[in-house]
Amino acid sequence: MTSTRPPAKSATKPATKFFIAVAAIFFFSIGSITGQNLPTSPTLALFRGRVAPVYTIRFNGTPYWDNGGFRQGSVFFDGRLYQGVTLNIDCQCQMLVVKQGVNEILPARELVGWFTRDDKLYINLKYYGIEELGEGFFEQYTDRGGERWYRQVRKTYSTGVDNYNGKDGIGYDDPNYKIKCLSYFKIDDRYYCWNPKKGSYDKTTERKALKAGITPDLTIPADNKAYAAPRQFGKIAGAPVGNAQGATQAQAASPTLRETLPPGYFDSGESESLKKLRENLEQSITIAESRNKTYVIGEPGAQRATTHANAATPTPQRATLSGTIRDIATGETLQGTLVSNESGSIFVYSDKDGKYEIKLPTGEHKIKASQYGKEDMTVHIILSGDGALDIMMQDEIKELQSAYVSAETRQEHRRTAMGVEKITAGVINKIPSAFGTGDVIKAILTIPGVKSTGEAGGGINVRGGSADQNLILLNDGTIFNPSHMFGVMSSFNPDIIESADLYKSSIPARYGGRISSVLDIKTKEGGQDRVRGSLGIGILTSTAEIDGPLCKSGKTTFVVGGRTTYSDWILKAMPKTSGYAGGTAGFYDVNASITQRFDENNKLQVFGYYSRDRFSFSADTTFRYNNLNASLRYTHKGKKGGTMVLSAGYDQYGNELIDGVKNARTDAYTLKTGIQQAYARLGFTLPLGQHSISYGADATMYLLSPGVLSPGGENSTLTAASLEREKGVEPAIYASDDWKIGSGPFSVEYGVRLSSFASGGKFYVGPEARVGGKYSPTPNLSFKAGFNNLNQYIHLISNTAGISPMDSWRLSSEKIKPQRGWQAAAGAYWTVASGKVDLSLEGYYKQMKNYLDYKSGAQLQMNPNLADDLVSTHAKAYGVELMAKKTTGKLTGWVAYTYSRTLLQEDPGRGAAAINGGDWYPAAHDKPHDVKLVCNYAFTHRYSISANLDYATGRPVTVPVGQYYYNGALRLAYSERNGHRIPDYFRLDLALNIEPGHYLKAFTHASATIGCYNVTGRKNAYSVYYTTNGGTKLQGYMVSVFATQIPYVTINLKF
Amino acid sequence: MRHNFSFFGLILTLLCPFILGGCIYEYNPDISQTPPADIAIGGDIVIGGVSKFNISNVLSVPDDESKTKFPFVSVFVECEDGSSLPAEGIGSGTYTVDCSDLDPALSYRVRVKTTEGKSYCSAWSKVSADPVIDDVKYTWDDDHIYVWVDLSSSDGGEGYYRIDYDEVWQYHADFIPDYMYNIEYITQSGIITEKPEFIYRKRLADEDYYYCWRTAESTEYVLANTLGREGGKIKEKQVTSFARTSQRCMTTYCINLKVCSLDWNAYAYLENTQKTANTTGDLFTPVPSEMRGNVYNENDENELVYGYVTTSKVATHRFFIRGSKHYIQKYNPESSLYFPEINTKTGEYGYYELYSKGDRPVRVYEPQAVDIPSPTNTNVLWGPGRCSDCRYDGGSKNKPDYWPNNDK
Repeated sequence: MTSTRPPAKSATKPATKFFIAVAAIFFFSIGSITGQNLPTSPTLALFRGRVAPVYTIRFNGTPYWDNGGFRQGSVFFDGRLYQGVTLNIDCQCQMLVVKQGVNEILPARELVGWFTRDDKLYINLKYYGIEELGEGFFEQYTDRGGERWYRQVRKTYSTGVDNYNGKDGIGYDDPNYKIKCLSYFKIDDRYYCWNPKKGSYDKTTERKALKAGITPDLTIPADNKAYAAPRQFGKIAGAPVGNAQGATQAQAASPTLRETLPPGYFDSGESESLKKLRENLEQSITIAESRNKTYVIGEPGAQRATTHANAATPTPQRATLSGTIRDIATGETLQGTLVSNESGSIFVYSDKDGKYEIKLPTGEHKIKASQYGKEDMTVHIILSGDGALDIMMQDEIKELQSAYVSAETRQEHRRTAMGVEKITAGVINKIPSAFGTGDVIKAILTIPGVKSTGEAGGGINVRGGSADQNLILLNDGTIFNPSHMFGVMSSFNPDIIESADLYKSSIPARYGGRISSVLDIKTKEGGQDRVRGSLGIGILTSTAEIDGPLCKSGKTTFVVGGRTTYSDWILKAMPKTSGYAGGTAGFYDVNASITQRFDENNKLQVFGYYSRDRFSFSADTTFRYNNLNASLRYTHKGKKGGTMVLSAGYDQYGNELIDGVKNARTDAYTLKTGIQQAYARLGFTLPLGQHSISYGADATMYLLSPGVLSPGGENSTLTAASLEREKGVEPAIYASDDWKIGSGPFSVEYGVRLSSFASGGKFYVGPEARVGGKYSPTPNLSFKAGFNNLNQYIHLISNTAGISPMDSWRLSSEKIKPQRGWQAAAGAYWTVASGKVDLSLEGYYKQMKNYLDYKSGAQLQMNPNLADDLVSTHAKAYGVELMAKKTTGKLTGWVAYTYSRTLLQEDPGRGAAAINGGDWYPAAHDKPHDVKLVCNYAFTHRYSISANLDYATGRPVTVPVGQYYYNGALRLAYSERNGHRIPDYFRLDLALNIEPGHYLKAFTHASATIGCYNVTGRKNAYSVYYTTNGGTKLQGYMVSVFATQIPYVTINLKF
Repeated sequence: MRHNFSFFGLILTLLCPFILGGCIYEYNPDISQTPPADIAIGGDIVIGGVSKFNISNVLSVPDDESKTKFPFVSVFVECEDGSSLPAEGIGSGTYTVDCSDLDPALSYRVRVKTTEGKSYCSAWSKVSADPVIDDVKYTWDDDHIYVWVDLSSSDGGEGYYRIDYDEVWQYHADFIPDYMYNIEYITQSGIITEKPEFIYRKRLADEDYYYCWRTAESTEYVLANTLGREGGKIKEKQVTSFARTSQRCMTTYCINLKVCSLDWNAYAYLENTQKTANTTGDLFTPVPSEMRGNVYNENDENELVYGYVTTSKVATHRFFIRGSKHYIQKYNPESSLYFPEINTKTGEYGYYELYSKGDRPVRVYEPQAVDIPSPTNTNVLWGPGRCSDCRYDGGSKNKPDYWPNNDK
């Protein structure tokens, strides 16, 4: 709406604009530099009004001018101009509301001449001596003829039951309030009213005007119809440009500036970088201001009354201080912010909506707010009674933007749950990995307690659990095989990942179905403002991603991503000794999502994912498998802060083995197995004071195809065969509570989940408990303990060390019992070095029942009596995890040591035939000692180096311990199962990360990673095996997946 | 975009050599663990044929030099009617016994007695249905020849089979020499001096080393079963293959198939043993594990004994591949021939040295009307011994009596 801008703006020369901008920046800079103690200067008197009222009633509408919330603008106050002010208009009390960082202030209206909000101008007409229209602020509108008009919005609220606000009767959603509040003007006996649809004033009739309540007071004389801004401003504004301190100077230097206060002036003429800088400076001033103020909280009268009421009791009075923690730049609420008194003896953490509530003795306090990535905020208050204090926080100094670890610091002190790890896209992409491709699973593997059977071992083992005991979710859909390229990389395109949460101990009650862990991966949503994209080019794979709005409003957004590989040439070029010469491998995956935001409280997301792998190690055996996921998720935020999530979806995993077809063998075949599941989940989260209640229900239907064998080619003499399909349903209900007990050091979370499973006439029920507690004697020290038990009704049938593409899933049945497990864990968490380093110590003990292993010589494929070849074992796992994590500064990262054991024992029943004679034996992923070091050092904003070090005890294997001759050929006598270990694993990776330059106006931004995987070139063993070379000589071999240094370059282009 | 994609291509090219590191390495750790068993006993009680058993000590890894590979034992085939047949040791832990007269309707087992007084027995077992070899054929492609067998069970039911075989093949040397090196020399003061006039002599009639026969036995058995096969018949089960450059297909090749029927347990045991002895080592190979066989210590059933003894009938079939049409000669024999360099001035001809290292005269390059070439005749071509004597390639002149040609 350039028409609202005063004409003088267009006359301003570009050079003048630039000068003004530079001058403004200069003055702001001075303000920032000298502003360590800026504050109580009278020049910032704008922020010295009374605190805005806290509307504690439940509004159906808004007391403000519109629904736009607080916006940036300029204020002419007490003869001075303030720019970059966050403000709004309270139409109930007709007051300007400015955000001062930690509070909302009502500047004295009689001192406010005018202000801008977005690109609209609001004038206090009374300030200029025009009292006909009454008190308050009027929006100035300029019609096509250049004449200016004014309108005002007034609002009242009522609690009557017969008004337009519904039976609750509170609020502003009276559909007629807009008409009532619109100003009608009579000019030369003609009536005008505001037409919101057209955005202009329409002529109307006297009858309508009178019906609408127009009064003679609103009649504007014809000769006074135009309160033309130039004239009025020229007389009254004296509006300087720059900050308050510089105002006088600027005014003196350039009187014409008084007339040229173009709303959004900087938006139009200021460069992006200058704008960003200015915003930072403005925030600095605002923050600095609030640090040096004393806030009186609570009604003094109330305080007196309270004091008086309790005068007879010697106990000190306490009052509750509550409010919301927000980011000053974005307005977003900040979860998990530590709010404490000066000594730290009383503290709370803000909830997921950024709200906090702390009980303090009345009197003076210094309230401190701490949040990772934000500067600590200290506010001086005088607490007289219950009251509100919103706190705004700003980002820490820019050096920390390249911090390696995401917002995890102090998390352990905030949440009751333990064993929860969050990895964000930024971390994923910075951890060096083979071939330079960011990888979720590889990043997860850097967390203590998470292991794999080897570099190409698909899947993860969490705290002793097997690979199938992890529930891996991608936007609610289950990924049954998370590996690409036989485990070299995972199935998740890093470009679309927003974050990955790993629950390895305290598994929320809403999750179930696996007994070891939950890895919940969320993809990002499309940007609402414009289309963005990225292109990644690596030596093995390339990725592409594009996202953005589908409509101008930005309510509908999309994300589309894809990834493919060109790895065939690598395998074909492998030397014959590699064992992979002549092999082929390839994959692709695609994903797409659409998010529809109906309003700020309702959102629908549709997501789809498909991946396909194929590879062969020999000329006539080919493996293929695919993952398919489709999900729908509807999220509703309630008015009381509650959340409802309804999701449904379909997941499918299928694999295929093709053998002998190329050579037209008579025993050529194609073998397929697969699993399909459909699910629906409904969950509610409801904050109730100190409680956060979650409850819901879910159901999953399974359809498994254990095996379909078909002849391969015309020559095959095999007959088609298939195993009977398995069906099952797994319904569950759950409820849990996260209870922060007062503002004290204790919090607990507890819940139950009742899972059940029905298949083939068999019905299992599995009650599950979730209990955890936290004791935090100080803000930097916490102790936690937890217990949970879980049930698992589907099983991965495998006799390989890692997840193999030919592994199939089976449902629990009469013979295959559900896996059941429980885990007890305890931990201590200590934040030291001024909050920069988190130390943690966690220990756990876990037991599992009905953990499947297999008999020697078991036939796992196309075996209708599979259960007879399986053996049921029970397992115990225990361990201690130590970690030190540095979360801020140029050097960030963590070092962790884990000692853990996972041991299995076959259930009684087979006597001497039992595995290892019925003794305990180590699981295939039992690696007692594990050291991980992950760090990043940022030289500058653009350049950083990352290092990743991994040491682990070699995993157990079964090796020959004897040899004998049989039928003239040498044969091997093997040890007891997993009786030996492969050599220890050691790997060091290094990478140099180059971030995009600060060319904000460039269309594309390129980042690059140059690195080397396995810098020392150590030949780490994935497995060892032995042959007799045709029955003549025993020879051992070691398979090393990455037996040498793998340098890589990855280029990422973003636009 | 500030980057040039051809630049990336260059980087990729440069990186290739680093990426292509080997992935499989020899690995021989010192596994100092006593083997879980002392003895392995395996073999077949062949009803209507010669039974063969292998008895072996279980040695540690690496070899325990103090322990012999094969124990001294007594082996008997016992029948459920109480009769017993002693087996005869033929060396290398192998024992055989003629079981031609055994009644297929009865159960049998093997008993092995050691010098330490231990007595091992196999479980009683009966013969399975007779195996039937329906057909044997061969195919070839550019590189290999493949031998296939069709099998079925005599009763039309499920069949589990182990296929062993022995091979005999006829091959020949590259040349039939005209002359032989005449090994007559005098020694003067310890120095070997050739007599020039006796350097060469004519080849005698019985010095025919052009054709030879060579034999081999399969060390790896082949397993097959009829599960999932149309009509319960196994079609084209590959028995063996060999390269077309092999001497096996130079003249005539014969494979004698021996198919014995097994029960399921024996089949599973042998399959597992085979897998564990020849794992491929790829990423998805099942973890190896031991199965218990059907042999046990009569006095201590908890003692682990490796091996499996089956009772079976054996079907045999001899199959020939005749002619040299599939043979691909991988070298040019002429290129192996050479003219010895003779130092005529000193008279030190050096033929003996050539002879000592295995070379032989083959022929006169340009046939001349000479009975015996002169030692100074530089037109006599020599070559490696195998060029003119087939025995150098491992064969012998022992021609099987069933051989289908008249070659000698």
